Amino acid sequence: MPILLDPEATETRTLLGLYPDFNGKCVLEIGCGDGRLTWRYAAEARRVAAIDPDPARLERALANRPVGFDHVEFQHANLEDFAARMQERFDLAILSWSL
Amino acid sequence: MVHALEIIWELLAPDGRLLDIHPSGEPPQVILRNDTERRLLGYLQESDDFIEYHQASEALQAVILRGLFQVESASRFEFSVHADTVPALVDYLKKEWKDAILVPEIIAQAEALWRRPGAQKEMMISEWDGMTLLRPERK
Repeated sequence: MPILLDPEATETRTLLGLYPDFNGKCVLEIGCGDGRLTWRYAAEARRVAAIDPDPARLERALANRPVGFDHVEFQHANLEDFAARMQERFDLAILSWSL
Repeated sequence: MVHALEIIWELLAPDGRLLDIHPSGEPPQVILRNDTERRLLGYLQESDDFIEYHQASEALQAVILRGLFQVESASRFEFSVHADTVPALVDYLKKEWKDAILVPEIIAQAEALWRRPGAQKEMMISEWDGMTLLRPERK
């Protein structure tokens, strides 16, 4: 156990307390980093677009993709560039420590 | 920051929601924990004095006042980082929390306490963060 982040999952419990139903939702996560939070909510979502400007962190996210999470798409992008080419509208946008 | 919130407003479906997570801006606690107690060693500082977190809160307030978003619910939670040694925590901060400042006095205090015999120990950073669910206003 060199480093553990939020092992008590307080962040996830707070998130699910405020937004309990991800079922069938189309989610945009801005600042997904290495996917630490993404993997905790994405199971029920219909689709997740997860963006981050740091390619090294995205590589870690892709390397850690659990089985059955093919509906999560990671993109190397900042919000402005992503929005410029995006027609889709999202049910939920998560600003993940990135505002 | 306000511009980012305007972009998000455009990207949301009419019944969509924005969920913002950001630190409260209170200095995180540096703690040495064993089986029986949490000992506060001091506080982590950041090179920019946490200013961006206060700016994030102000940006949210600005778009709420402009009528772009309404707060639906909000909460606070304790986010913790756990390290199994003092050097592991120092190394983590250097790589992943680049603007964090852990003063040498706290490191020395932690190492001195670590050398004492006793129960299993770990280092912790404890930070209070805010989470806010917002609904876009469509007039």
